[in-house]
Amino acid sequence: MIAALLLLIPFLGALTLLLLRPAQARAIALATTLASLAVVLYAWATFTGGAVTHLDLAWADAWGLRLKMGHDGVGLLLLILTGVVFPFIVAAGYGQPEDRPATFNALLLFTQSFLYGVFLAQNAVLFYIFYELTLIPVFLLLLYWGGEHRRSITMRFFIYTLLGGLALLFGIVYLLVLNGGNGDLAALAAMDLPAGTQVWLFWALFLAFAIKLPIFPFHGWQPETYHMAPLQGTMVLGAVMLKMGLYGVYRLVLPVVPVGTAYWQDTVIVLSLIGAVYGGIIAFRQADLKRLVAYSSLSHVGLLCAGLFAGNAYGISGSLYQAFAHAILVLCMFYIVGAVQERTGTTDLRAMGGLKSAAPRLAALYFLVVVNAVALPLTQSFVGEWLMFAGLWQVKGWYAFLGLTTIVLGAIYVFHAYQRVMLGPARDGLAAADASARDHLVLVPLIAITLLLGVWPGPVLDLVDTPVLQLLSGLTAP
Amino acid sequence: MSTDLLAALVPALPLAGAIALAALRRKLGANAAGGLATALVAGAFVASALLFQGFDPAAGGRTVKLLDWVRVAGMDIPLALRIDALSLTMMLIVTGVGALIHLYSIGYMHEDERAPTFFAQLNLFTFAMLLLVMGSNFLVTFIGWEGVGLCSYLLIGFWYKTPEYNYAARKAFVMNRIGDVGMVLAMVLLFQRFGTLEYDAIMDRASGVNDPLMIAATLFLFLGATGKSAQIPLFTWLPDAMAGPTPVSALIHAATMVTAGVFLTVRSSVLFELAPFTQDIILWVGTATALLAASIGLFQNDIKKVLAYSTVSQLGYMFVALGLGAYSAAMFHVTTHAFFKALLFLGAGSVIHALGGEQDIRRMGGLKGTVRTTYITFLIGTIAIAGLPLMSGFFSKDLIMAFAFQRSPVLFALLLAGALMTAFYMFRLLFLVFHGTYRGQAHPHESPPTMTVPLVVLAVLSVAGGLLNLPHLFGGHEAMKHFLESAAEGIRFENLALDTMTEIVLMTLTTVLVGVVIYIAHGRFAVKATLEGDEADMPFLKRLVAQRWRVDELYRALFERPFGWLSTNLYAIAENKVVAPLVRGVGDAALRVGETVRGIQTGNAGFHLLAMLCGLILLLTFTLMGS
Repeated sequence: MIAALLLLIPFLGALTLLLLRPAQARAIALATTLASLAVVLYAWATFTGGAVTHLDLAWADAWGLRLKMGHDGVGLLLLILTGVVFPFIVAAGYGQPEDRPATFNALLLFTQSFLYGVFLAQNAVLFYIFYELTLIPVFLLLLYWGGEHRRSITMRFFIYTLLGGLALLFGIVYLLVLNGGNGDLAALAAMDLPAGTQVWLFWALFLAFAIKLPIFPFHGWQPETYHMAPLQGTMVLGAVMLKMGLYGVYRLVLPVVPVGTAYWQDTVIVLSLIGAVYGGIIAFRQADLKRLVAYSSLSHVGLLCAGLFAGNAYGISGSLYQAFAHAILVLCMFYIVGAVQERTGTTDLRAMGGLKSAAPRLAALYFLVVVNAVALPLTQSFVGEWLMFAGLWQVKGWYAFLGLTTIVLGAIYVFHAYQRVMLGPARDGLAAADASARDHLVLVPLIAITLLLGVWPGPVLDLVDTPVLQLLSGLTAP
Repeated sequence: MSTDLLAALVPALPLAGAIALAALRRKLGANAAGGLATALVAGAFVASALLFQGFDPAAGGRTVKLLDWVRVAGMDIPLALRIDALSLTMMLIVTGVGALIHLYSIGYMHEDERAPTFFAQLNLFTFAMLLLVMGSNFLVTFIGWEGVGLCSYLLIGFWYKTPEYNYAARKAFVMNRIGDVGMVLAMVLLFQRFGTLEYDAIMDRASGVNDPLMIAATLFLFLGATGKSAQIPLFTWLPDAMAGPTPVSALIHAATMVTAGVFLTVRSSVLFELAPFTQDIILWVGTATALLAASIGLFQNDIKKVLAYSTVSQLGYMFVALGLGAYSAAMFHVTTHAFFKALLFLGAGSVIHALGGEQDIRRMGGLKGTVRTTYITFLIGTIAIAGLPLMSGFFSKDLIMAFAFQRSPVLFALLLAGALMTAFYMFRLLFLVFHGTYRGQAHPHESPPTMTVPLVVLAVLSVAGGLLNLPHLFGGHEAMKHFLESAAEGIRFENLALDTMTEIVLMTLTTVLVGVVIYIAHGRFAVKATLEGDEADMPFLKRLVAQRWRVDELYRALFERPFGWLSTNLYAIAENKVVAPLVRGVGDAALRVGETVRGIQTGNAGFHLLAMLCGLILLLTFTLMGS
């Protein structure tokens, strides 16, 4: 029931928008996402800790495709994430120029529906279908609503991620063949493949996620796509789409090819950490605020992936916890970018300064986001980072050290950007409006979440605790 | 009221103040905001005093758990407070001196339109500082540790329209963050080793452990301490931090936050006792910092910069004590320094206030007649820091020097040189500001009572603070040492075994030399005002010292500029010349293949499906070949 509601509410909402083209497209989309948020919260409230199967129907079993949907605590965390972020993404649209809003919001809703599918799927083929389906509405969002060079950049993004997707498909079908056509994720995890196979199969499965996240050096598509995309598109990409990569690793890579993972663990961690440092260094001198945030996201994601591949309880739970924290942070950061652009007409940092004098409330909100962005304790980001550092330390001391350099780099570029935008002498002729009711409605709840989960991370940590320990005991059992 | 509730109330009061003031900052006037903020910190002081009164050192510390915090996969780190001799000492300093500085700020900030914001941030700082000292585990301390750093950032850059102030604020935060890398590494290491971050559990389990990891852990902790407490190499942010309003310099950058590194070391004294190697490093870093900063103080012309370098130097003395294992001496100096340095900064603020913002001592002079209370209290502060007999600074510094002599006469001689420099630059400051004739154009006036009352109270404490830990030689029984012993194991290993005669000789020697230095300073700066001229005309060595040993320039050349260059060029070369073309290459190649198979213009979803099909075919071929 819950699975069907989650998939159908946004899907039907999207169809309504497409077919009826109502005048209040945004309002309808917002109502739809709020309804689906209510379902997610209901699922959370009734969750008792174990894995849940919502739906288990034969479909095309001969192809290994079975309509099996459910979730464990981690799946639920990502469902909650998807449910929480979309109302804010839709609401952010009220600050953006209105261009074919019915289709635009319909595409957002389709994306949400498919994302639910990804996090609900308990069958590898079903997972793959949803995983690739999400690409289509996002592709159209970028192609028709993007900025400069949208055609070429979108094509590159599309093909690059698709190539990864092909490798993933190959990997999944290979697994199906070996497993007698049974695509059940739990069954795949129980396969115990020969070590030699795991070593190459790892990359077939991981490449798509490495690109989706992205980690260094597979990130080439990311900065320009984030920069070109419409604001809400960037939010979708940064807040949720990349979490599919993390989830994919957690669901399909770690349990299915544990030996392959162990074999490549150091490689992936080192690449991820290089990306974390590299993105953090590059972000500092970016002249464009949106690009700066894109590189900061690259840096954060590097740390997330390294934490996940630490492969121990702290690293994995920290990374999954941080997946949620990062989504909230990304929304806040890009929302700020939009709010600043609304007022100054640019995202060029060189042309900014002194906005705080005109918009002190917006500056205060931005500062609260900054506090979370540098992962100060008692914000949500700190909990995740602390766990990941503890996890990385258990693997190798200098991994933790390398990861920790990002707390210095982050302090440098985050405060640099904040000061560049907000502080300094007031600008003549900059008569910008202060934070509006809408700005407060979007940012205040998001900031409240970051502080609440920073002080009281228990509800989210409890979700990941059991599944992660189960995963780890499954890995060490044979 | 129960102890637990009282303990929770101490940080809760200033936190409530910070939230309320931030919310009402547009509705409250400066005086109302200041009054509320001061009352709440005073309330926290009363609560701390009640806790202190009901505390029995013999019964040991008490842990007050507030909330579960990070609890996952066997890690269980609660939000909990620890009430013991050490945290109580710090709580009394933070809330006591803090309340006085809040009170002073009412007068100092009354004309600033953002005064309510100022008080909100000052209250937030007090909250963070209290968490720092009250945390029952490293991670709660770290909340405060980072929190005070954030408030320090906010308050240094309080006047945000001036770009240099913003730069100073950012510099302080970033340099502190470098130290924080050490802090986090120490914490993950300790957690890995002991499975907990609770102080009492770690100190229990670590006792007597012989483990090279302890050297790493203590070195990491010390790295964190160098950031917060402005020791070499991370000290250059503190003088720049003087950009903030003067009460901030007094509270954060003299009395409380900068002593966090000392506090942390005392808290972890058991670990440091296991790592003599780290202790030696601390000893020499402390000595070097004390001397370097004191030498810079000799030629500064900005009244607050002189005091800032003096603070760095005095913190150096505290670390010398820590390096010698003299934890109680370090804490004693933390306490007396909080009194007299807060007094000196507030006095400086009163002077600056009287002169309408003037900070250059070359344009001061002769103020003792016009700002009488400020003069007398500043004089007391100066005598205290110079270490003249029976003042608080005399006892605390003398204790450190006695420990130093016991280790090595050379170390004693170095510290004595530092003490003489201290006496020189402080009396130079005093004479140039208050004696001689006025050299500026402003119309000096004494500050309002909200500002002078804290000066008087702090002056009394600066005189009498020595009683807290009066040595046997003067009829005392080292009360503070015995009190702290119950909280910091390391104090039990302290052993000062100088005979009375040696102690008297050392004290007399120090006092006589300090007296000579004051006499010289009097001749140069009180009888006539010898002002420093242009730096360009100075001889090389003096110029080097006056230019702060050019450490800032060195760091700029070694770190700041290369980092900017790296950021620019990683983007221009690695990113744009290597990574981006790679994506374009892959994309364009795939596009060309796609176009030959089928026009890509029609239906992109179609292309997508087609590609999925390609994958299937590839796979089938592969499996067929495999079988």
